[in-house]
Amino acid sequence: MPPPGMNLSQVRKQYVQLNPVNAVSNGQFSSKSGIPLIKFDISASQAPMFLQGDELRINGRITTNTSAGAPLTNTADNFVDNFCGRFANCIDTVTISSKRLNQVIERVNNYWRIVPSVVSSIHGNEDINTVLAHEGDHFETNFLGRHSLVAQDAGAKGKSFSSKLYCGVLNSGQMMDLSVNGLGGLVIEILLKPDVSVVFGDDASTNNVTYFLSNLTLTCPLYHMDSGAAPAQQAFNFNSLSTVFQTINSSTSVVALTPGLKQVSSIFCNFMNTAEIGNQSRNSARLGNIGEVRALRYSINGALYPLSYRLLTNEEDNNLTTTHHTYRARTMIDRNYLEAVNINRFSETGRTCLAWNKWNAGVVNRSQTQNNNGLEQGTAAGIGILYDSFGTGEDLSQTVFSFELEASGDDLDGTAAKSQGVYMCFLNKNQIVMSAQGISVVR
Amino acid sequence: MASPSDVSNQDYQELEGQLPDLLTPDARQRAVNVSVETNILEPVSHQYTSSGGGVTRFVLPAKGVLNAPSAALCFEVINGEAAGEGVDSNLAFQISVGGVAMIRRITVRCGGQILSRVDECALYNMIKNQFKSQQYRENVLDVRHSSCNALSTKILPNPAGSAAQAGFTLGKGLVGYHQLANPELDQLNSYGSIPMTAGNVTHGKQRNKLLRNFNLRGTGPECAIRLADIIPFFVRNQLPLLGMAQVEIECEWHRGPAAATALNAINQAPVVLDNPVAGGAGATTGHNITFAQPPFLSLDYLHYDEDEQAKIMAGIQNGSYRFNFTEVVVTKGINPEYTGAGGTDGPVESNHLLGMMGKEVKKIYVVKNWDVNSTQGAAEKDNQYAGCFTHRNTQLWDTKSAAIHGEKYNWIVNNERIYNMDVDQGALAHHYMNHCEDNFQVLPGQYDTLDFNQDVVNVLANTDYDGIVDNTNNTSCITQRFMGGCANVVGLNLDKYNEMGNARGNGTRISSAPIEFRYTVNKANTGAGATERRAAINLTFFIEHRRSLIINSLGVSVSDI
Repeated sequence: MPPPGMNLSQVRKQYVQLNPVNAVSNGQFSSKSGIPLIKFDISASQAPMFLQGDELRINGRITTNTSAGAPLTNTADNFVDNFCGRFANCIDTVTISSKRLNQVIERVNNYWRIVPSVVSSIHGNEDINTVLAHEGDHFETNFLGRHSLVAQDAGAKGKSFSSKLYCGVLNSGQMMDLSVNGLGGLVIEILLKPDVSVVFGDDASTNNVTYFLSNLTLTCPLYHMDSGAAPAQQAFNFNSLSTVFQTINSSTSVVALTPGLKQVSSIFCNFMNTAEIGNQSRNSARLGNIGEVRALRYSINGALYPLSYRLLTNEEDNNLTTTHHTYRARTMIDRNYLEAVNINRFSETGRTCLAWNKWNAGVVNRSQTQNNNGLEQGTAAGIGILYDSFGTGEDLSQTVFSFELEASGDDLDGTAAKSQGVYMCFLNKNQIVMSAQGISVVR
Repeated sequence: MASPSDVSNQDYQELEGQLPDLLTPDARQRAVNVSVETNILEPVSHQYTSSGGGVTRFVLPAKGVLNAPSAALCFEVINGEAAGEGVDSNLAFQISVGGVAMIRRITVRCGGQILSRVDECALYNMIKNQFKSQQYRENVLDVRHSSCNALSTKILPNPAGSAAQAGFTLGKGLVGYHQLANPELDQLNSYGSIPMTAGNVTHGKQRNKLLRNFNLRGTGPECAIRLADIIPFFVRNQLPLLGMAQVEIECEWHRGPAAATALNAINQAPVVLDNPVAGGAGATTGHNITFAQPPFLSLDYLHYDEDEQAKIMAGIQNGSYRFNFTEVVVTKGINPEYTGAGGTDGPVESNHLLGMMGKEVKKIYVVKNWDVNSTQGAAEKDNQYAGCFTHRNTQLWDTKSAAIHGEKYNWIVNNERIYNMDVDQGALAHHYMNHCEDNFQVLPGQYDTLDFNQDVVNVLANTDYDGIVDNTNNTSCITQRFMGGCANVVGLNLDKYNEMGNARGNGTRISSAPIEFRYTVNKANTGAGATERRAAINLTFFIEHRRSLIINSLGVSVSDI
């Protein structure tokens, strides 16, 4: 929506297409055959100029090859995580900075772990197969994604993508003033992942499959306004995505930390076996199965909060197998997870992939390492808790947040190591305050 | 998109007519007494023949307030025009828009003046439907229109070489292990769904969507088409018929095939075969159609208390009411035939001047279809590119928009180039199409085909149970053949904010310099019939612009201001 008080006749819309400012001679970006950092620079203007962040797209082509430079075979075990999609799978970190005083506004680490949770929680299969398939090449299953993963044209380039960036500042619903009196322009930096954790599968590992990005552009609509057409923007609110990596090693594990954030709306976590991180045979973006959960509780400073009770499951009682399978029965955990990712009450959840009978995430009876090779029915598990969908969020700047996950016997992950990587994401309300003296980000 | 210097909004200033809250339901914040009268309105005239098409006219009585968003056009079409015809029950509506394919043009008049007219109605509806979610198309529109937009994920249950259900992971080495299928083009056993008693892929449509024969007229699928789905004017407005001159709705129908025309001689029709690969279908005749009975309108009239009606009438007498609405204009262009020597390929460029001076343009859509009626087009009309029927498609006919090799485009509006680099990547073109409304929700393989790369379109079902790509045999899935590369519409959004709808100034006022569309594709004179792509391409432009309907004591007028 336009800024309040704006006159439509004084607005001029411009579609901009920008190339990376750090392009190399071959136009390729990757951890192996180009440079791993992509940098876009959106300049400032004198008159008010607003950016519609949710329409910002990174466009280009992704090409995947064996280490010998050969195209991939369409029947081999080469995959990218279906929820993460081809493009997000390549990204490690996204940093968005204001050019005014070189102030970092938001940095999203572990980007490839956040996107699968977001996509599988707020979209159904129909959305993924129609809209998201064209954007970041998300697909309902890994096998559906394999078709475009292996495609190359006559110039040995892969299929195009046009993906949004899953960052809070770009998806706040507010327009950002990029003029010299506002943010003073933006710098967007995208750090790419190493080859070993992008394309996965047994054949990908055998052939040391690599990737590169090319033909990159950033596109977005900008709104130029006559001076005085809109009141100067003085503050801008958004939810940032802050991530923390932890591990848990036993069937009753507590993760406790002080996030240092003042206005936390929600927290969500997803899991995968630590033994699979950095293993090209395994899916590094997998939303792992966690284990056979008995109970889950959330606390602040040791007291149960915001739920004053534990979330119990009867998975153990329903387990029909003897070797590391989970009969999935964790409705309340799922409910709170969806609330956390959506930052909204459960009654407002409209779509999700957490079905009971779909290939991608709805299998009731699954092994602990389900689909880590890309071949099996998938999982979309996670845990999360919503603190505040309306107000200013929970102050965790001085307090200790913790959750305790209790799994049955030896079924934390079904492997000897029993170690699970926990990717925690804190959604924190932020405010950018702009004045003649500069800008500041209140977290 | 700067404001034009020679035509500006200031040239068109006038006092806004204020609408009463009764005619703007979103704004109404008080309780009023209202009775709703739902009527079946029969046409004042109706004629139709399969070989000639037809026209139906409705005259709306001047009473109450018409709840335009709920108005629906209802009809049943049958196969055969005389007793005994159409007994094979082998016809259904075109799969993407269903019964809307019958409508060629629809016009709304008031006092003899055209308020709104939509040409190429079915094609326009094809575009607009893709902005609806897959769930809505499948669960709402398919029921109303007898269209076939369902989607299923095909997962081979019984991979090649297995005599029994051998486990799902065994299909991992097959291209066709996981694919997307339209269940009304392909029925087969799949993950969690084993409806077939044998390992066969069949291609029929639901029985309830098949047209009945002449003798069984009145028992077949009835289409109920919301006028708001095909006429933007009806989306939000409520018309005070009690204070307006006589309102007429005229519907011009597409013609169907002549009874004696064989299927393989048909290039365009509103109906398609139930099973497009049935043996001998190409030579079949008897595909003529007619209406089971005259179409009718289902209308809701809102009757307010007399004092509320008096307020409406007083408003008309004392000033004017202004309804801002979206009108759509259709114009056409041609990307010419490739004339290069045999064995060559190259770009074919075309520039298209669209005019629209002084109009406030909101969106532009470009539909592309190969000209299959020209000599060259006829020669290559049954070609498949990576298996996809993008020329003559017997399940979509021309109610589609074909992806083309080497496509790139740009726009010039008010003497400014819209994109500083030509749009030549499919995903980006799709994103710019998304700009026009929320999301253009077509299937992968329907839009960006990477110049008909077989791997890309393999996401749509094209194999038998052996999982091997097969674009020829009838025992394999055909979803990819008929849907691949067939929803590639180019879009440009000239609205500043979609949320502002038809607010004045939200679109882009066009100067005396016409809108220009620069379009380039790659065509080839291969010398081999099956891979030729030389023919001309017909471009159909749908240009949405804002208009205003003004009702005052002098009558009704429509203006661009």
